Amino acid sequence: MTLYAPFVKPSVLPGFRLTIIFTILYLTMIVLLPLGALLFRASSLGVHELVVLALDGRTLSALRLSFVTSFAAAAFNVPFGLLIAWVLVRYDFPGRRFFDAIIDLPFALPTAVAGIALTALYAPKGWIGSIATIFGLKIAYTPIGVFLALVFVGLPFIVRTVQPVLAEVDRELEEAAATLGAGRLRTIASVVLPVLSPAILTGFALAFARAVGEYGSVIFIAGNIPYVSEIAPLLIVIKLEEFDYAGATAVAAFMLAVSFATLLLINLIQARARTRYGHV
Amino acid sequence: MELDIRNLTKTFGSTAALHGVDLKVASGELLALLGPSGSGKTTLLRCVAGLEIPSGGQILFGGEDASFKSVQERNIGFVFQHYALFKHLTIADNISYGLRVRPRRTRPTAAAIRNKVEELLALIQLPEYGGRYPSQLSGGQRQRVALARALAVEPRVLLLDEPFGALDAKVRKELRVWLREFHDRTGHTTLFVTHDQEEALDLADRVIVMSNGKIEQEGSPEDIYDRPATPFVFDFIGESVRLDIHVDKGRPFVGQQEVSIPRLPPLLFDGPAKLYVRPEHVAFRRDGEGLWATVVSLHRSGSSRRIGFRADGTEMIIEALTPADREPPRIGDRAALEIRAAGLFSGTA
Repeated sequence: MTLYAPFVKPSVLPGFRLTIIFTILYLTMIVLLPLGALLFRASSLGVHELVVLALDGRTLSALRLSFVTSFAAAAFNVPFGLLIAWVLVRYDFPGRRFFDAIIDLPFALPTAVAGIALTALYAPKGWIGSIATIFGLKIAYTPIGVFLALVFVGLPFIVRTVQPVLAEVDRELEEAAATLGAGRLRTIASVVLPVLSPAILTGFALAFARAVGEYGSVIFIAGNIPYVSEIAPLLIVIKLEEFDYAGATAVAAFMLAVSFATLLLINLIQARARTRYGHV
Repeated sequence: MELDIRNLTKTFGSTAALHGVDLKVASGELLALLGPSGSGKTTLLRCVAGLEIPSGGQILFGGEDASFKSVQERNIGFVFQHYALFKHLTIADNISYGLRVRPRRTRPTAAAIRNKVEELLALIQLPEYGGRYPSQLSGGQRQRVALARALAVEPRVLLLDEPFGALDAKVRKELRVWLREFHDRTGHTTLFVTHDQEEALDLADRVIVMSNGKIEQEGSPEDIYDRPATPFVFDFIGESVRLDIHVDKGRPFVGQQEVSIPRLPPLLFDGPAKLYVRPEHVAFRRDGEGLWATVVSLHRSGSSRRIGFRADGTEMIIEALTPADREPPRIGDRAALEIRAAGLFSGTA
């Protein structure tokens, strides 16, 4: 008779112990160890020094730029990613498979390539940048440029998380709403979107997380002007190059804390939705 | 609200799902659309609901042409086989959905909506369930909620698509009885689609038997069972055996033996024909007049016994049903069969 820990449900299908040991070891080595090292490094600085370093004007504006543009880009991608997923799932048209395939390009492209391409387009002398200049709009080398690059890299996350869930949405639900007198927009808002919301939230969280850490595609188009278009990951690299390890650690620890809090919050919202509607 | 369907056709691509269906439904009638899958019964129901656009014909609601009205404008109640409840809404919010989506001018007050929900929850005998979610209810309860949701908008016609199809046999029967009582109390004009003949014959005022996009027969459950009008209906409803016979000078022959069948209209043709006989309409004796045959099989099932006879001079098997407590014949015994009722159709196919 094997003794089980109280949380283990005895089962005739073995595998719990092997898989749980592997999971814990793997997560520890791949995820927790590097992050632990970072926190260890930060803790050796002391709280006071950490706060002083993080509240430095240049650091603060870099952090603000990173989180605000990441949030905005992920939020911007939600409605448009949703629309694209909708069209790809619901309609059949010539070239559908082609468009479906190019959704993944921002994943696959080396980020530096994407950054250079975007800069070429949006720089004041580029195709789109020169048109924008006529209207007095400067895109490259401003936060707008950062935002654009983050929209580019974030799009696949929304589309790819929503797509499979949307494909599973029961058409009868929409028909039921229609027979009850609900118009099309009302039906989508009150019947389809609630079913999609966990997937949308997941996609948003992934796009946001990717955007916060994004480096390659942003640094070319951002211009990296301190206090204006300098993102936090770049600031870390700059500080490292200047052998300012303490400063780099402080920025990194701060980013880690905010990112972790954000993802935790999103997970909590989803867990609540899940217990409420059964599976979803 | 009476319903008048005129020459309705529907084609999907190159296949026709409905070939010119004409049907009148009286106000307050409970009508069953019965047929095998692919017979067009669900397509017909969805055309009435406005969920499919007919290829031709007209649908009139109370004399008014609704053919070009949208689903939303038709004011029908539709119940789906798999309930189609909104699982992110409570039972109360599901039921009130149709009232809450109305434009402000016609929307009842919040208090009126609450009252309506209470009233409907009582009607479907789930008074305490308003705050729960669909995932917390059993299949039968969910289907009753779906019915309440459809009724909340006070529909002119109630349309049920295989309403009991997803439920287990026991709940199915209970809900069937419940729906009949419910209909008698509320009196909605109701169309329901089913492939289950027992359900249709048990529940409906009138049964429409469909096959291949056409109406084969319409009539009361008794008409449909006792007087099937076509070979298809004979095959599809109840049990029957088909005998390939021939008619000579207006008299039917099984092999070389003439059979007498009461209440058969005069036969105005000669040649091959099909005879459909239900086992409960076959009696047998050990002597006397009749169609002579030999017992070839005996099979006891529950309260009855099924006996297979091979008609003399043929390979055709005729089945008879007798009470199990009656002394059965033995295999190889000979008997004279009396066919009390049967359907006879010309042709061989």
